[in-house]
Amino acid sequence: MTPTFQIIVIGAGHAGCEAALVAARMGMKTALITMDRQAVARMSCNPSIGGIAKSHIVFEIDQLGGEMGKNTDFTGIQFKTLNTKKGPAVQALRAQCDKPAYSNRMLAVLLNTTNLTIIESNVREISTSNGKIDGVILADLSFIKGIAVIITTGTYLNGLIHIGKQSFPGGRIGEQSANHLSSSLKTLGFRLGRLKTGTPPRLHKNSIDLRSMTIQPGDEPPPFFSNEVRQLFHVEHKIEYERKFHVEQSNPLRPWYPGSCQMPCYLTHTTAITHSIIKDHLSESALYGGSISGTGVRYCPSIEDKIVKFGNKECHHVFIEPEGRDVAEIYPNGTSCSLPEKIQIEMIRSIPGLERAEFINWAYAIEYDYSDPTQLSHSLETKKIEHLYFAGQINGTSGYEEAAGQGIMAGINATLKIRGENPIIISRSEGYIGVLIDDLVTKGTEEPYRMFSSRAEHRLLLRQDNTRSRMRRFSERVGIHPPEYHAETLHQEALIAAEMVRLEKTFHSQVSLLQWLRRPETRYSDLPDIDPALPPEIIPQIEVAAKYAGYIVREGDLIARMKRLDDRAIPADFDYATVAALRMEAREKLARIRPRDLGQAARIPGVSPADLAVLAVLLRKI
Amino acid sequence: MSALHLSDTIAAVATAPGPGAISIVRLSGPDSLRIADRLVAPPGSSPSSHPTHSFFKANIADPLNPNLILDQAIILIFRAPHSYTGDDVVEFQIHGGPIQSRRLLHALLACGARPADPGEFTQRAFLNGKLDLVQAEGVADLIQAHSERASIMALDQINGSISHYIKDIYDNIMTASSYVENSIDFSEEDFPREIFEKSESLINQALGVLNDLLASWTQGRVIREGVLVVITGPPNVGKSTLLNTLLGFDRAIVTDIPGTTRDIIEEGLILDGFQIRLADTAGIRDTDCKIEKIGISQARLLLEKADVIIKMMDASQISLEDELALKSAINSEETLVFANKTDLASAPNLALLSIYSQQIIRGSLINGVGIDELKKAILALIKSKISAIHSFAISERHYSILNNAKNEILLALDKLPQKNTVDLVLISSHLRSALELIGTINGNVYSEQLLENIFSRFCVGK
Ligand SMILES: Nc1nc2c(ncn2[C@@H]2O[C@H](COP(=O)(O)OP(=O)(O)OP(=O)(O)O)[C@@H](O)[C@H]2O)c(=O)[nH]1
Ligand SMILES: [Mg+2]
Repeated sequence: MTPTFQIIVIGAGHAGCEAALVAARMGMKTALITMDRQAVARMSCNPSIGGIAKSHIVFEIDQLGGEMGKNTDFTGIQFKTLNTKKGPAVQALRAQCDKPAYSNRMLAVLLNTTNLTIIESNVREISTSNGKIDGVILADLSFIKGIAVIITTGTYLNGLIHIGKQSFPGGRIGEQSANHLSSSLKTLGFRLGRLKTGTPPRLHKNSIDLRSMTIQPGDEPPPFFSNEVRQLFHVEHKIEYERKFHVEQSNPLRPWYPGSCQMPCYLTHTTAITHSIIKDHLSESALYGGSISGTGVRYCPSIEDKIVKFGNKECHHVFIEPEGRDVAEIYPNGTSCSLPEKIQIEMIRSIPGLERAEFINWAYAIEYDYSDPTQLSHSLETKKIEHLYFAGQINGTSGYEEAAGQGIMAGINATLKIRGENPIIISRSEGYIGVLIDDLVTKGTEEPYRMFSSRAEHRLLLRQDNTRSRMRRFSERVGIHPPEYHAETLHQEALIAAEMVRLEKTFHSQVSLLQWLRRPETRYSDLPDIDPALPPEIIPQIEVAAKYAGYIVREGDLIARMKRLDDRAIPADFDYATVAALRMEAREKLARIRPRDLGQAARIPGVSPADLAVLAVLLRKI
Repeated sequence: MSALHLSDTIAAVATAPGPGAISIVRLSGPDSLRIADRLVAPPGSSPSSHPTHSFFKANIADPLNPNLILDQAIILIFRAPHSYTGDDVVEFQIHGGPIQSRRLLHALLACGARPADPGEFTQRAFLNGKLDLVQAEGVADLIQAHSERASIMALDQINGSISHYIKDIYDNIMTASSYVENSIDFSEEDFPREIFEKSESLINQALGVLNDLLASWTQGRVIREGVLVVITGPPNVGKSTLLNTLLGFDRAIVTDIPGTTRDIIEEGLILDGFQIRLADTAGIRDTDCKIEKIGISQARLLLEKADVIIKMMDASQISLEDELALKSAINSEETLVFANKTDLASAPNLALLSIYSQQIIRGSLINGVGIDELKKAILALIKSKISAIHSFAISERHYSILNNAKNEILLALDKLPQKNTVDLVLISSHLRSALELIGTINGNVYSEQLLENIFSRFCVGK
């Protein structure tokens, strides 16, 4: 009998794991197809989760009932808050993880999830009938039936690895690529493009001299991503626990006490010698030698890129990051390249502290197929084929967090569609996930898309501290967190509102506590009269509400103004081709992307404000 | 569906209602030529047989009653896309008079044209890509312009001469903003001082240009609304006589009774292309008369708004007050002193005046002496006020947008140097607001309001 599922997820990376988990948790009979179960949720590049703007996505995933936050908290070996002095809206959490522990724990979670089956195989083809999904065909030509398919194959589609002038097919180093699937997608009529990304070499930790480097410890007490870990593992317990702590890793779900025994990173830098080595051998680099056609990440550039484009900088940071507690590899962050092996050795050894560095893996660049994400609607379903979803790097993003954020939304929306419900679409003013998906489906991307805080025009509202409230409405629909959890969120919101009133009405030496709190650098705990009964997790929200008061109102006005554009729906059959006043580029883009409304049209690159004005005038006439 | 918006043909009388030498009736749309053909009385040649940018004379007849000749017209042909709207356009220049033009319009409507909405011709030009929004706004200003100077200014906007300055401001703020963003998203440093210094200098540069533009508004207002010239002075010195003289007709009552004028009498006047609002006021003196008192206080209020003040005195009786007033008037930038009635003045008085000869214009209105000199002085004053720091001026809407943008920029500057923590997000928020505001002027940002504002200001026919 043909195995039959409601949802089939292809690929068990960060997107695939979230998609499969959320679908199964929402009650869907789910299959997760992966080439190698030991490689689920593998951190194939840097060993960290979070960072500016990315951490916001992780917080949102956690509130929706996803796994990334918890997985990071349980397997993290260093936790740090970034941007502490640039304003609360852009404060972000970053954790270094133990890579094997991260994968192991995710596998354990997958195996422990009801409704979820892991299938170890390779997908050959997406099977459709009448423009609808009916399943997938595996490498052995066996058929798996499914109502919905979510493709989360990362960099595997037609993956081509480059080291210097050498190149060979592969999804990641040591793993094969998925080429059949790529042609299957082309056959189905999807536009594919080519992107590239790269990773630094891995060095042996015993070959590194840390004495000349600057130590970068984690924060104490450690900040966490997930609500569960924040609630269950209080700092006070830690000291006691640590006395008893010894690494046994017998329980992959809880390899150690979260946040205990943090490991530091180290900072070193490139030198003039490093730069001249790279310059002398640029022609041998896959990137600069011209053998790579894909577009690279502008914001996570290779070292060749940095030296060519920022020629006047005398040195660049190199962060030495551990890949785990019991792992030999260290990750020299900032040295990603596609130079030949011999040059990599020379280049790395010109860096202070790395003079005797031994290589475990070479740096490489990888080129892969991605699907133009403007072929998706906001639910991440393809416009062409019903019940087919794309999530993660296949949509042209970079980064674990961006992948996971799409994965969970694809899983949720595939489920809702099967149930006959409307999709969940997070707006740009409600979450970074909303910004991410709207950017992808509206603007497309020509380089690996990475999240930045500056992409979120309403970032004053999209903070880590208020994620729980921001996501409440969606989380309730997903239904993974129990109803009591949402009741508590509401209760917290009420507490905040009441405390704001009290602060406004309580005066101390003729100054209201609210005014008091507005002063720069004043914390809630500095006030002469505080409410000690308030749960500590809401304090940051009170501080922000006081300090940002006027700005939050302003932001509300802005959202209302934008909403007026979002309310101006554009008919699905609008004929852009005949509007003489639209510039050619705008006509093409609009016809291809078919925005839902004026608001989305406004965000399409190539549609100018003048084009928008033309549309507005025309829409008024219909 | 989208063909719908331009598929019909619109018609309107394009000239202002009221008597005039000729009226223009305009027709635009795909059926313009066909409709026009039906109006030409035989044996005239049909408009559709004429090439673009040509004109010819023809009799036009009522299409329902071809024997009824409506008028003789000059017919102008503009074929798409070489017309104002970008569609086929036919213009009929007919003999003046509202009746004639209305009859022609009715005939066009009977042949299938639709009456145009206000601003619809310009809207079509816009939709056909003939004008951008900023230019369309200029057109709206042009139509409302009262004087030649104002229309030069509006034309400047159509041709885009302020956009250069706006772009300058926009670019500097944009660069500053990108430094700030960069520091939020990429800098590992907690307090990148260097970045603040760079941003600060860019913001200050932008602020400089912004201030210049704002200053130009005052000049612009003077040009658009007219220069307010107020005549003041003691009773009976000849203020009302001056008003009448400058206007060229008797507008104000002139008597030899001091305190004749009580109300403000304002009249429009064009002097060397400048729109002027000339106001005569009650003579200023101590009085118990209730009516006169009110008049005097109104006069005082008006003086505060005046762009140019003509302070009049009687050369035949110079009082101590006159002398004191003279001294302060001479230091003021907007005041001219005119000593009237030199025909009655004694030699010592004339000698006294000659001490101030440079600053005082002397004359005798009833003898027509000194008037040209006074006119020249008024013009010189107006010109010095709008003397070109810039050869352009911004509109009121631009003024208020730029003023708001300036406030945002000042707030951003204010937030920059806070000890060693700085809320970059707030700075960025102010800079973004400023960019958004400025962007609505040069078309970098879409603004619903602008659209509304432009197409609602038009009268029918443009
Ligand atoms: N001799 C002489 N008389 C003049 C001259 N100009 C005006 N007058 C006369 O002076 C008298 C007052 O003139 P108005 O123009 O009414 O004076 P006014 O300043 O408006 O007076 P109020 O309205 O009462 O303040 C009239 O009889 C004018 O004819 C002049 O140049 N020479
Ligand atoms: Mg008078």
